[in-house]
Amino acid sequence: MKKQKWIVLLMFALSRLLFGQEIEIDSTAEPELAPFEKMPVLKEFIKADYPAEELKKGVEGKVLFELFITDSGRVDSITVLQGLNPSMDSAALHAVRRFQYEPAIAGGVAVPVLLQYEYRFSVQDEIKELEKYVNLKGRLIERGTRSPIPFATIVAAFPDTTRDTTLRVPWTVYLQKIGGFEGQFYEAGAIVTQTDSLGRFAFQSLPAGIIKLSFPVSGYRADSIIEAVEKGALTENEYRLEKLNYNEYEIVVYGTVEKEEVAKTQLTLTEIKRIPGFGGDAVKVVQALPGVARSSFNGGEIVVRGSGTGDTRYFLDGMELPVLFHFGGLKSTYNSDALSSVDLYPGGFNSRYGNTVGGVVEIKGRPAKTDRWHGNVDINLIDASFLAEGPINEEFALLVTARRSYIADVLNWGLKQAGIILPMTVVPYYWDIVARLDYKPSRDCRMFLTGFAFTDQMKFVFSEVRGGSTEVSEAKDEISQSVDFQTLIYGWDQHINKSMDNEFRLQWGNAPTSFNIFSFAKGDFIQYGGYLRDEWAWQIREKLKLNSGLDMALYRVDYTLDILSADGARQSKRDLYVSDLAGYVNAEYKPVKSLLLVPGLRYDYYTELSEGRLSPRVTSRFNWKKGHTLKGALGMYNQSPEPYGQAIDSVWGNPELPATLGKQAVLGYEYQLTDLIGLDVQTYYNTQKNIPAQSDSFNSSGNPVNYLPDQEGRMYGFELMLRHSQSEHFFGWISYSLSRSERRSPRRMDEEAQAGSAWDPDKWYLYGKDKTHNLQFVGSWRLPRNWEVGGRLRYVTGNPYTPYLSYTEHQYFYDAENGRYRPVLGEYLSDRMGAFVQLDVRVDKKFIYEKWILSAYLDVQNVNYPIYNSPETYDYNYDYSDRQVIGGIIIPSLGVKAEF
Amino acid sequence: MKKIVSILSSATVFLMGCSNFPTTYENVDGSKTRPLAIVCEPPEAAPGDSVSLSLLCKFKPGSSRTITWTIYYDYGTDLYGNEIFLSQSKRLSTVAGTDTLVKFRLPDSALFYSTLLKNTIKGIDTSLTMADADNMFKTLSLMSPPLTDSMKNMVNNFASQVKIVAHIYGDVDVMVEKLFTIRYTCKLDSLQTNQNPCIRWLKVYTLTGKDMQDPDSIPTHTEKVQYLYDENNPVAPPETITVDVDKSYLFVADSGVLVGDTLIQRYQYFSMKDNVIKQDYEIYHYDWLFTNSDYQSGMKQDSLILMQGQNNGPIAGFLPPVDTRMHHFSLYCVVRDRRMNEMFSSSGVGYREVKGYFSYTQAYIRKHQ
Repeated sequence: MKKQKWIVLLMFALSRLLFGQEIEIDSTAEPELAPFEKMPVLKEFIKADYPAEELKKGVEGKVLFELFITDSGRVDSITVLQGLNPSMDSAALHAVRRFQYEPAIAGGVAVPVLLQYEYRFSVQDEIKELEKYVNLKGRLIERGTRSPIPFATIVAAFPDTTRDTTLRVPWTVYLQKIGGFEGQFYEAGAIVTQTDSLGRFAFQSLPAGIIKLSFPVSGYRADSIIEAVEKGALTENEYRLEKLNYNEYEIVVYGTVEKEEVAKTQLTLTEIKRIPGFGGDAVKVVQALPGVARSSFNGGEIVVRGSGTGDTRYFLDGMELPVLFHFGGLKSTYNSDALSSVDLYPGGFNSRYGNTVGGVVEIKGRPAKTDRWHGNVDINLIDASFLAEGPINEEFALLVTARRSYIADVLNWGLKQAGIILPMTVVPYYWDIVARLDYKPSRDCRMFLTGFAFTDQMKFVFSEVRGGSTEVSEAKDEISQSVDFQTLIYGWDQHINKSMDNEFRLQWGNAPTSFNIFSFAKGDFIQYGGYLRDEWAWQIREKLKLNSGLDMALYRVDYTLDILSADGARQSKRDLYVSDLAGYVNAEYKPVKSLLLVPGLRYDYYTELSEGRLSPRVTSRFNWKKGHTLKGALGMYNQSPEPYGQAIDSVWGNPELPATLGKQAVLGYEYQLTDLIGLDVQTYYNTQKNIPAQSDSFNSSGNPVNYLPDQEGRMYGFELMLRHSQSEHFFGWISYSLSRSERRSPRRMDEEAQAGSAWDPDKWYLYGKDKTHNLQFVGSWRLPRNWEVGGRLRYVTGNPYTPYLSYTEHQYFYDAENGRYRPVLGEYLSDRMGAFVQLDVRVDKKFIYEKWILSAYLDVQNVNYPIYNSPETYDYNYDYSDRQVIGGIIIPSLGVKAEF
Repeated sequence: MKKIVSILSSATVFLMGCSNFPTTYENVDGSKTRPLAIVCEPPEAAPGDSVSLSLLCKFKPGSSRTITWTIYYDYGTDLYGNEIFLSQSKRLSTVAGTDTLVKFRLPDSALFYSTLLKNTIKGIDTSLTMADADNMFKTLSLMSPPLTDSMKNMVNNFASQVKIVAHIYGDVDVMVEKLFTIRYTCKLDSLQTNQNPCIRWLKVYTLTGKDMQDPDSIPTHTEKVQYLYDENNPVAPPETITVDVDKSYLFVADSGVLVGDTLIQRYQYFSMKDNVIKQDYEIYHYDWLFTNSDYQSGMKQDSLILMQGQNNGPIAGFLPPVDTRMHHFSLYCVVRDRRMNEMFSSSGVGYREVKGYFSYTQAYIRKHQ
């Protein structure tokens, strides 16, 4: 009995494994029967038809039968021991009746048996083999920009659960089932999926009917859409989400990006253009950084740490740019939309850069976007531009942008409306064009070819002025200037292996320039030639990286210079080669994790001077505590004499001038106060010697010269940058520069002095661009609905100037030869103008449309003008006994930009 | 180049930022001493010649003054026009009874003092002394056969500029400076010698219509021409200028049609640029100044005569007084000639001062009451 029971139990277990149904031996079996050798085995299972009504209701459960299995294995009779409901009992009975067994064996022969059998109805089993198919897919992109939104959550909810009448199973069961499909899941009555890196998504086997798609994506406005999904049909769409704020802002923290540099500031890309006061120009923002002096009338001169205006070099992708701004400061020549970054090196930079004793500004073009074709059109009061960029194929991408100014027309219209008649006709215009082709054949290789050209023309025609001599120019009634520039830059970045990289740049350029000042001076210059930079970076060991490179510029310069001098019209005509043929090396050495030492060496050879110079430099950073960095730099620098070209001219300069030499020492400290707020302070002490200064004397060969290299300079100061990085609503910084820049010369530097004070050759006199204090507050706030407002407040010490004794002491000087008063000058640059205070504000608003974005901005400079007119210069009356302040007026700038 | 770019851009904004600064340059209002010119007669001379210097100046009425006259024989500028030499001074005595007139004789060695000239001579031949050179050019200038252009040019360039300073100590401390050319050119029979320009007549043009100060309006809009001064009838009193509404007014001076040695002289010069002798014409610069004699304290500046435009040519537009109590005025016209390409040249000066009278129509009076 026990054995029989055991066998029956075994069969019961086996039947469960095989069929999921229960078999139990009949407890009423006769005990006198021979023991079972084999229990009946179900050979053919017949699935019951799940009653549709019960299935739809989700009714499931078990029907318990007692089966009589004949010795032939046939189900002979069935008794329902425990039912579910009549329809299910009947369906199960109908199925079980057709079961076929292998008969039970007892005593070696087949015997009939009674079995209990449990038939189970399972809704899950009914949809086990549910068909998988995609019936809703799409792409989620950003409204306006059409950029894909990667890894975003998409929720499909079902407002009407009765719509799909084809579902055999309960709604929830179906959703739970399809929620288990790969790539989607069930949650709270909805199906959820996620976009891929390209913003694509797909739902599988969604029930037919109305579906509410919602997109709970961080940083985007919550949005939903109703879609109708058909069974067996694919619904495909593109969905656009509106960003909460389109005013992206990227700026890398001052002084902490480039770990090997002590005083590098990097400004990265787009929304930096929204800083007030710069007319949307990213390059000009360097003027808001510590170490850069304020330029007069918001012009474009970059005076870095008290060095001369010509002492700072400008680079585009490592290649030299002759002019950084149109019209001396209105807009940068390279369209800001095509830039990726702007780097300012105010001093203490390593051996990568040469031929400068001041600072370096390097702008970098950006590669074209490759996700799709983009474009924008920008129209403002000054100029209009367009940009188009996109992929050509998988390896090539192209970016083209062009710009043309019409400021003259706007100016003339404005003056006409204001009823102002100028004593002159102003004819300014500029255009520029950038075309960049990017080629990326592999992950380790990137190439680009940039074509860049611009023209600047500025002309003031004074109809009633008759200037100098026709010997110089026929145009005696005009001041004019023209700059053209065309260049091709080829770049090749190669990751050679895991320890070696190469960066190669080659430039060919052409820069014709001309000017005429009332026919008193006229010049025509053309410079053409090539520039090559090849830099190797070699990670020798974990602690040591070696950078070495060639930095070679070779230009041919042809020029004609006509100047009406005190003894008649003179012409100087030359063609010569100028060059900076340089090689450099520096090592990034980390003896311990917290200390970085970068010693470097550079050799520059100037063909025009027949002179070579060696410049050792070292920079270091010491992260002595988390968030605290001590840094310093020491180096020697040199450059070909300024003003470039004229200084070594045989008629107007001195061909024997040596290179101008400089020394720079920097000590600084960085402190990251919080994740968002960082502080950078630096002090510096720089010196210069061999600075060319005007002279009327003789050189060592006894020839008359107009420059002597006997001026010296010294500059020292303290700089601070307290910066709040971009948070959800705010970014801004406070920059402060305390500086002093001085010059010493054995001869007078005040050229116009005729009856002024004595000159002390041992005295350090102020440099004309010196600004003791330069304090700036910059802030920009994001507001709802894509509004953004910003402000920039500046306080700068007044410009040094030489006082007029005619004004201060009532000493007059009448030049009867020319019929005009001239000022009686006091001591050279011994006085200062009033402080410069300026507040600029800017308001931006974006209008987001499905496939494009319209931006409008109002940038108002010098809103404080009615309250305080900051002096840029003084306008004196006829005998210099009275004066008025001349400063920048309120300058509003209005523009719109459409981005596609 | 960067400097030039910077200047040009600054100039743009500067012009945009300029407000109308009230200048009283043209209005010699008597509030302080105003020098107008120094006239050298002749405007250039040879060593040993006699020269008279007269200071044209409107002194502040009732103020005391002292004037010292000094001549600097060694004077020079560098190529940029900056003064680099100023020495060898000599005090000049005034003519008895006046402090504004000086007569003196240039020393025979006047050219010897010039450092610039010494350097030039040294550059030609180090063995050549200044005395030898001076003697040579003096002889050359006195030769009876006409000299060739090249020889005239050599004589022309053997020259020096000297500086004359009249220092006025009075209600104001003002130095008045004038350059003077010393060379032997005047001994030659040549137009090369600069002459003082003269103003042979001064007129007032009345034009129909407002805002007709443009000289181009004269041929088509001239309604009336009145003399303030006429060289052919110097004693005739100036005519009364009747001021009316909707009219425009111009002061016009002898505009210098080439006649004899007065205006727009032709001269020749050695071109440093082309290394040849070339010819050019002098250019002229006019100053127009006035005194409104009926000015009373409290009247506004803009109620006086207002000069229009640049006013450095022979035709000057003006707006008549809006305060119709003003009738009597004085007009001062100074003209200077310049030779842009000639080394060591100094300007010649012409001067004319006239008195005039404004009367006003009833319509004009009504309009400006």
